[in-house]
Amino acid sequence: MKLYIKNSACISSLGIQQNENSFELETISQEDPKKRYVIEPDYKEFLSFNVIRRSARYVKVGLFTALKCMQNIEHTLGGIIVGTGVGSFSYTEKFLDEMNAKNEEKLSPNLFLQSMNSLLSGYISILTKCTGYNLTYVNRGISFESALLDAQAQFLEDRSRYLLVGAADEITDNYVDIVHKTGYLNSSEKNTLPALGEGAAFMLLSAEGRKGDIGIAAIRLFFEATPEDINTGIEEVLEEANCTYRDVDLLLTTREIQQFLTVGEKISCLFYKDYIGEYPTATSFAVWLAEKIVATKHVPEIFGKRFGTKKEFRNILIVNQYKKNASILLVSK
Amino acid sequence: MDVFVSGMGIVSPLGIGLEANFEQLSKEATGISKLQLIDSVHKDKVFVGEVKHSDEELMDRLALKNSYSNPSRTWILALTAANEALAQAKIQEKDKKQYRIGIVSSSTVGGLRNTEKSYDGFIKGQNTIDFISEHSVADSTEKLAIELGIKDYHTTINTACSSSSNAIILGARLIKSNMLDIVLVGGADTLSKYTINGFNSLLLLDPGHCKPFDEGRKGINLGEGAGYLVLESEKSMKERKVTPKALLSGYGITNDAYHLSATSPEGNGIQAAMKIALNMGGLIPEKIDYINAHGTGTANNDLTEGMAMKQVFNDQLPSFNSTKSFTGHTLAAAGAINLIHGAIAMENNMVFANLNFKNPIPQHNLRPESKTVKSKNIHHVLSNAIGMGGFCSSIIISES
Repeated sequence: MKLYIKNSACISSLGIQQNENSFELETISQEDPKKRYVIEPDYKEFLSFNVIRRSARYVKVGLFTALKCMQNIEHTLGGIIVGTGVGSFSYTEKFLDEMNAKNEEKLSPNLFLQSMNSLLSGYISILTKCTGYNLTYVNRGISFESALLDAQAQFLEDRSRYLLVGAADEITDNYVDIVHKTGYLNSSEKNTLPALGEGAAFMLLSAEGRKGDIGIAAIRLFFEATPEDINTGIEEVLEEANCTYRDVDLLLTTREIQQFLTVGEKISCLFYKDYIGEYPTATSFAVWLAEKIVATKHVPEIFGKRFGTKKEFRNILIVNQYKKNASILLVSK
Repeated sequence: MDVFVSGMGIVSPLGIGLEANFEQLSKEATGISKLQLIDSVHKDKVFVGEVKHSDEELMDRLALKNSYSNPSRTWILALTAANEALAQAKIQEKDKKQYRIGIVSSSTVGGLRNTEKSYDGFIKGQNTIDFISEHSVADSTEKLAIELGIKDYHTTINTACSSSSNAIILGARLIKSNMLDIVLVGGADTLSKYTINGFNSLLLLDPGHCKPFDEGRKGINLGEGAGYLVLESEKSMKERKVTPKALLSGYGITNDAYHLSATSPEGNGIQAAMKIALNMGGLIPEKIDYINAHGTGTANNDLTEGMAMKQVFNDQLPSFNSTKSFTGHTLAAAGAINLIHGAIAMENNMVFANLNFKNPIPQHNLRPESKTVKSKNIHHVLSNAIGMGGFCSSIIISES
């Protein structure tokens, strides 16, 4: 079951210049290179003053991206599925701080509401007036993938639906500090601390597509996977898509993963997390990027001239690992 | 394809296990009392549904295969209930190899009870306690997968107070779409200083015992607990020679799309969810013998859910109650605990009392069963869950 991407939108720590034919990204300098905060858009384009003032950044970037993805879309939305790894950490901190400072008295209900993981998908339903299916997945490194798998099941039940599927995550200074001090995300081999990032990406998905339309052709999820499991998984995914590694134009992954992949040296690799930082739903950025590359036949220049512009990009493989979770996604034409 | 319930497990303020829950429900003995186990200004004051065992007591019962550094109470409750469900479903080690088994779990609190103890000191450099691993609601699901050796697929849902209903529904859908053969579904949440203060800030806590569907209701009592079910296809059940406890005959998920913290006046979202569930089960409303309502005890919920039930059932409501008058509102666990209480009612042909009900809400004039109804034939039970953010879910279980 291929999930056709009818439209998409993204907010990340990279600047995005995009029109119909061209597509470039740019690095924006960050105060602390270990913290890759998103470039916040002019929220007023889609959000009311009240929402902008009272919401967590996680909610704002998620809402903005979701609404941008639905801009000029006439199809009726059949459901909304959101993945988030961390949810609203900023407002969890704010409510905890207030609870401690005011000794549990006269606390702000908005801080509590805004700290709910599920607020974003509920909010999208209100702003898109979508009364259909609505769910939030919060499962670390496969939160976005869980949403995609759910979409697959939805389409098996009803092919005619359009589903808005996406992910959002945020970091805070304290969150980064806690993660670094506890070694929560340390790579086991090198004991290195990755730069942390945040972002949001949404896509309008449909089971119906024509030849040449771009979509997510395969999804594989793993828990406590060995390198062998992942290598076998890649073989299965390629077989399912009726192709070999030679048909894969680009591999979006990390340097660490590349080292144990049997196809790691054979396919041209782009280490996207070096640019956006690590976060649980970073694969939503990767899918958005892959779709854009296939659509424009062009890899943004910030990733290096070596990728250049090919006559065609047909298949882009995404291999990810986040703590005990791993996933393989194939975006293809 | 039909999906069956082959096992259930529960921990609630009424006790550990299906037996203990049945005993307390049939005795009309509430599990709600003043907060004991959390260090808070609300201790000994606020009425809650607390599981009356310390983490240590609960851990002692578990006989763990692995060791875990800072286990959250959410996970301890979840594992306690999951163990009972898997035992009732007679899931053997060989089944875990032979079948594609998954876990769909849910929580809203996750490890917050640990976070709220350590966060402030950590930030100020006064401690180095690692609470961040357990903080995520996914952590207890992941530890269930590890401890139970169920590793084909697991995921975690958080849709506020309808979370575990949605976990049950997703599990059923994964079986129907042939992604899994057997799936452990449900949810767990613990009381925490965070949620007690959160609901208090929203002015949603009843200062006394909650009074679902009563005219004078003043809000919820927060509760804690876990409810898990084993769902499977007819095929695997036959092969494994287990008898089903119930048939999952219908379900519906919608969003009210009205307001973040209030439901629409007519309860449009839950109305639609009930209708979708009835439709899927091929059931006319008259076939439902008993509704275990969401019935939280808030002004908004009990009014709008009642309006919705009245609409769907054409003013001819079957027996209904809210067992939150026994357990308090167990947040993510509420949907699963509700459904399990419904299954216990169906098995014993009883409708348990809706405690503390005196006068109906004038706008809909609906009367829940205020006393235990014995020897009532129950073939189909409908169970509702509604979460902040507009998340509405309805599930029907039937005699199998």
